[in-house]
Amino acid sequence: MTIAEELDLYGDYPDDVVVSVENVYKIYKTHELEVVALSGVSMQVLEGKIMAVVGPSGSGKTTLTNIMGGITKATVGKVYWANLRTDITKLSERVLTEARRNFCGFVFQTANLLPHLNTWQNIELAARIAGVPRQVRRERVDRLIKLVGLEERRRSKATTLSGGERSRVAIASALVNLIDTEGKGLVLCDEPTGDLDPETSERILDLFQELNESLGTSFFIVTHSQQVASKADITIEIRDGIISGFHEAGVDLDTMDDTRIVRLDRNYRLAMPTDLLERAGNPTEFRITLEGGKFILVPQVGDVMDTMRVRKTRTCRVCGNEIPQGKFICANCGSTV
Amino acid sequence: MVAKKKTETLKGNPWWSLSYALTSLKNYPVRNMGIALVLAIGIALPTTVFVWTSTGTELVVNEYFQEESYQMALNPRAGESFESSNLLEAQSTALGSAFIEYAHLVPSTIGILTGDFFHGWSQYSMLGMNYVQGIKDMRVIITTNAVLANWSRDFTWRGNFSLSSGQVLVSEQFVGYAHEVHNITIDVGTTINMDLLRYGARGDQLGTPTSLGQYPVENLLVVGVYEIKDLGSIIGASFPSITRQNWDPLGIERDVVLGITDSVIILEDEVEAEVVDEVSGRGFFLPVVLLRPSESGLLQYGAQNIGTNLAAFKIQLEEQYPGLIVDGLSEIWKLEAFITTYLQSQILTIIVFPVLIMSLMLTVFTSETSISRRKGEISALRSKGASFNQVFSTFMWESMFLSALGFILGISLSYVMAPLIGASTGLFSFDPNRYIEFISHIAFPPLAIIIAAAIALYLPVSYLVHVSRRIDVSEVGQPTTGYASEDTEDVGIWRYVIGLVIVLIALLIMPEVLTPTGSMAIVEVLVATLLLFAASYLGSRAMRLVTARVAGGTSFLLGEKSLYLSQSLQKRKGQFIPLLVILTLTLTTTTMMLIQSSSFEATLQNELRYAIGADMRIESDPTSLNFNQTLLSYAGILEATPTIETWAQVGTQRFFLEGVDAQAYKRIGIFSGSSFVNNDSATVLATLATVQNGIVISEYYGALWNKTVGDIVQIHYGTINGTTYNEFEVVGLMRSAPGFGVASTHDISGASFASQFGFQVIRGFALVNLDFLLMRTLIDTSSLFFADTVCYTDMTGIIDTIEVEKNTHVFTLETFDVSAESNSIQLFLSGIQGLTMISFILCAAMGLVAIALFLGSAVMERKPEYAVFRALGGTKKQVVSMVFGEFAGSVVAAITISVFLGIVFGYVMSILTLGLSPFVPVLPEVLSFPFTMMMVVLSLESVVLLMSTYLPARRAGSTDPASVLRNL
Repeated sequence: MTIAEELDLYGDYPDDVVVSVENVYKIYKTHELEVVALSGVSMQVLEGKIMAVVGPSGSGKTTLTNIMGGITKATVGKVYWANLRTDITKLSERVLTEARRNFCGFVFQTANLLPHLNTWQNIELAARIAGVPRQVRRERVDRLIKLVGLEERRRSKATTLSGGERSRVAIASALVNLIDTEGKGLVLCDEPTGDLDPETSERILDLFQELNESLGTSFFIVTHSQQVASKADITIEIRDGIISGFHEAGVDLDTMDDTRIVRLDRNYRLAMPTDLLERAGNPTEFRITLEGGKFILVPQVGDVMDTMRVRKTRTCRVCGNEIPQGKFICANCGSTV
Repeated sequence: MVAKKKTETLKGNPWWSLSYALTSLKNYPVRNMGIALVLAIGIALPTTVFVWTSTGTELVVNEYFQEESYQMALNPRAGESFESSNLLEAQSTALGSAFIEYAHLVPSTIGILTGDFFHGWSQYSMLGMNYVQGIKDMRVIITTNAVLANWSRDFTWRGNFSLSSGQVLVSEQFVGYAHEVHNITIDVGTTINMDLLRYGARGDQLGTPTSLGQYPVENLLVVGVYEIKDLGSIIGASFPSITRQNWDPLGIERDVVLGITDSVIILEDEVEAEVVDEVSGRGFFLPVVLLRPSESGLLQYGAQNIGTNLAAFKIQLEEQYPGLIVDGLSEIWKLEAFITTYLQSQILTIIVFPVLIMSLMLTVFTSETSISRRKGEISALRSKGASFNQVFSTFMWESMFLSALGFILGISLSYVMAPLIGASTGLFSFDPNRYIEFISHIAFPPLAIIIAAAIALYLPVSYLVHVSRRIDVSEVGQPTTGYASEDTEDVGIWRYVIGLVIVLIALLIMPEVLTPTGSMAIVEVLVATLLLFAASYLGSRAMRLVTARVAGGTSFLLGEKSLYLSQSLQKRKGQFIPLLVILTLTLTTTTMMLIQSSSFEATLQNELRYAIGADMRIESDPTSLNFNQTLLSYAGILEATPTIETWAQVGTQRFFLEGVDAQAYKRIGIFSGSSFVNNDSATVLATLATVQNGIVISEYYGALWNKTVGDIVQIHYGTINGTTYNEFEVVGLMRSAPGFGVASTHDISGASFASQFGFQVIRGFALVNLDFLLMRTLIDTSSLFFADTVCYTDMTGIIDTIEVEKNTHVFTLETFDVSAESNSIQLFLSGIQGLTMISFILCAAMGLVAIALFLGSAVMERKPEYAVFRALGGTKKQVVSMVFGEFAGSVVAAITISVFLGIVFGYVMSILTLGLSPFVPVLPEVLSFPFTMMMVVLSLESVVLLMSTYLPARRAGSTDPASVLRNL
């Protein structure tokens, strides 16, 4: 075994993992106040998949995206990038920026286009910054412009584009350095359809799917919209910085029945699907019972513990005599429970 | 287990930042040009002063050297020969010096004109009556074409002023004499013969052709007829003439002959080399070495040292070669005085400090605004993979380009503006010819370039500070176009008003507490500059609130706009306060400099009037006192009085006694309230008239001798026959007197204005009765008369008549030419006036740039607001009028406060400027408020500024609500 192999601490990750987040905490400190944005989040983005993250405002979605993209550093935890095969939280800003160029693309709600550049130049910009040779750059931009359907607007200034067109330019721009990475790229999208009407949003989502299928690039989409979530291969729900729901297939949560699949996180915590909780009247305590190989989870109200204790009698560990319920000393041998 | 392969990272394009910076510069032309222009103004100001003084210095040095071909000449002393004087050695010593450009040895002797008209001569004497004997002799100067080329600036000529073999140049007077002697006409194209006399003889000694070394030179073609421009020049003085009788031994007429005016010039190749040697060593005249100092060589050691270096070199030659006389450099003191004044004028940079600091401040504001507006852009670039260093270097490249552009613009501005100071003839007037002269000799001293470069670097440094901060705080994913809303400011006006009052009080008492002279004046100007900024800031804030209140309280006039204006004027302090401060500063500075410049000129006029002393001051060679009667015979002269002057001494103190007819002097003299101590002029002079041995002494001597009115002073003084002694009764104490200057030069710390005009009595003086002085000294001549003239009469005709007919110099306030009489004062005055003019232009430019940048960016940022107005049903016209009202309100606020501040600062700065000047006024400073000029200049500036606010308002009106609100 070579030293390199010995040091390949992340070699046990499956090949299809693009980004893995392990037990990540993010605490923002503003003035005297500490805000926990993420609290022990673990998840993996798989190659060639569209993953959506849903959750209410302030739940930590954008923070999670930024941590995955290496823009924000996690306070605690590890973030693994497939291209580096390492934990990026320990890397310098310069190495991260260089590594991010052909690994991560960003699409924001505001599209983030430069107003003085035209469509072609906006798409090309990321490749120019990265130092991609001119010929390669041209080919990529031409290909992407076709893929996103903006051949007619290639010379139009960013300010003259419609909202949908801007999103397309932003998507193409995010992909310009990932297009040749044989699928190991990730596009992080923060509310990509937030500004768009449902019809345009639908078209953008279709575009995501098309690009995902044709290029094999993974997409990680932060959204409020169930419409977006329904197009994803995997949807996770996040609430107060904890992943509270996990759906293996693209689901429209509104159309689902009352059963969910949830996954234990690395801290053996079970996040509860928020919509179901709402339907159950947002209970704060549950009674969990293992019965015949099944867990039965019953929402509790009132003094749960007392009720449970009343029902149970004990056996003295010393003499085997039965101790009546509510008593703590064995009447036979005098031992305490 | 096999390690999985890592993907290679993209290192980034190192040149992307440069290309992006260029694109960015192209995309924001107005903003970038604005920044470059503001920087250029900052660069231009100090550079202009240095370029002006440097060019002026070079110009006067150039003029000095252009005036004559040579500035020095080496002549063997009487009794010395060519060899014994070591002339040749001295020539090579001179040539070896870095201060000498060339040293020409020019031999000359006598020649005799020959030809068909004259068949030979047998005897010749230099002092003989040669013409009547038909001998036309002349000086023959043997030279080279290189020397001739250098001489050309000292001569006028017909034909050529260069020679080839077989050619000769002749002087006009030689041609005239030749015609008189031989009745022949010599002109260009004529051929002449001559006998060159190789050996000299004493003046009155007769020589034969053999003894005089006759050497015929024949068939010389006359190619030019010349005349020397100035006989007093080095060339003129090096070939002096003699006067002799030529025609009639009993006559009185003597001709001026054998000098440069009666000469011919031939090339040394025309005769054999040994003949030249013989002429040099034994000819009629000893050769002369003409020296031309090296302008560049001297400038290398500093313009200010030219005079000293040349004088030292002259002394060195004289000491090294005692057999030689070193002539020349008689006018070098003038050159030195010019250079010194130019160098002293560099201190004037300080009066443009407010404009300089303003431009640097504006540079910070604009770069800060520019970068903060691009926060979104930074974020976008970061999201597209640009590293911190890439984004940082993009901005740094931009700043470097802008800095270079600002540098070039600044230097170009200096190129245009420096000659404007040099050519300035008054406030907002200049002499175009002088301007062209300046611009054609413009010189950029290394110090000016270094200062310009240092100021240019200020922009990249400012970017360095702001950009790194912005990139650091810019989060990825921010919108590229921002909309920042700001709450209205809820602060009281009183804190600003009280602050302003404190600042102004500090400003006003500063020159009272600390007398502004010398370096203290510099410190006070700097403090006043700081206070100007503080006052502008406080005044702007106060005026903004006042304007907001006025706008709020005039709803009956403004209707619905009043609410918007009052609210809007109270917020956006980030944009409007810097703008207001800049506008207030520009307008205040303009007003201040107008007052400053005008006050300096008024003080100068007041001093001049006092230095002249009366309506008319007549100076002459000592003239009989009866000349007073002659003066009175001229129409327009009402009264005249002579003065007598003699030296006087008390202990070791030397001064002058000025004898005046006290009654007449009282009426004629233009007195000031500060002339006499504790009494007015009428009383003091009336007392003097009644006390025969009365004397008015200076306050300084009064204190020194412990004498006051009524005391007796014993004075020794000069008379026609020697020294005499008298007791004088002190009838008054004075500080100064019209026509004589300051009573004791100990009283003032520098040179008085009067001394610059040449009217100051050296050391000081005391006034006594004319009759008494006349009686005691027997001095019955006067060199100075004062006259009272009829008002409103054009005296120029009378002045000319008195000057020409009576050989006098007449001075009046109206006809006194400051520029001709005192270069130093003129230079300083034109410096102030030129800088005022330049500052006005630059301030106006800066105001316009500030409006374009701040209001342009305000409109950009507030587009959503305008779009909402439009969406709510506001018409385009309504939006324009509302925004214009708001912008114009700010400008009006700036104008109002700046007129007030301008007057206060103008008052103080005028006093401080006089403190900076190398001249000390005898009378109190005169503060002049040129209201008409101020009104015109400020109105012009205000109209331009107000009009310029309309453009951004119109742009606000053209906001398309649909597109803006959609992109919100």
